[in-house]
Amino acid sequence: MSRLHELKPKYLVKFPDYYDELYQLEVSAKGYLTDVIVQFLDGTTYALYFTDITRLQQDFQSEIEEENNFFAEPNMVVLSKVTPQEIKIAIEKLVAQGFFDELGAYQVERSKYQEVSKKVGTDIQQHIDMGFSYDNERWMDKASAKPIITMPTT
Amino acid sequence: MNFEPRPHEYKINKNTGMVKPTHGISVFDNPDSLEDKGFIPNLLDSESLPKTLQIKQRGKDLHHYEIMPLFLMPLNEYKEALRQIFVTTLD
Repeated sequence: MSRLHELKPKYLVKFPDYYDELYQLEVSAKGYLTDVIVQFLDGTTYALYFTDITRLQQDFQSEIEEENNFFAEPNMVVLSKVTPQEIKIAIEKLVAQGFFDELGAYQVERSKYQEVSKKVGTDIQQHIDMGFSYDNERWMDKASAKPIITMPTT
Repeated sequence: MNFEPRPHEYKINKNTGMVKPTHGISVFDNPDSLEDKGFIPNLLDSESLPKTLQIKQRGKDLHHYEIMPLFLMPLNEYKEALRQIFVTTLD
């Protein structure tokens, strides 16, 4: 038998809790979705905003009517349509193209998780060892059974 | 049925802290198409729509609309106005 390897994902994509089947349909029509989290093995986390070109144009026009001369959203990515499949494909390509290396990391609040993580370092296995579980595309704190939006960083 | 906005279905004006008249809860005017996708459509009672709200087409789907404030409005007022909307089932 050749040597065995355990596979771990290079990154995790976390959709908002409320992005259920109905909201996916609505978002596809709305043309935008915010708070899509991409987390890498070292704990670095990014929050992305996805929009399609029609909604971008409408939102820009709304801002003009409000006497702004811009429309801006942090970490905005424009897609042809905003669906889970399109989002995942885009993130895969953005990772491959090194997009996240040039992007500012998501600001995380100081928390007990950060404090613990500073002591032990961070990677996904360590998160698990620290009592977090990954379930249904969300990190959970096993003790409190609450979802964790921001993960520890070094 | 209650209209309760999800966290990013409305936008807050950062200068005033008010809900902007640009985004809102999704509604559609093509019930048959939605039924085909496995959802049960309810008919919005337009008489119950508060005068402080408006319904505007948004996004590239021309059958898609959003119920949004008519003007800059505090979030609690927007949520309260949404609660006044009634729907009936389609039979």
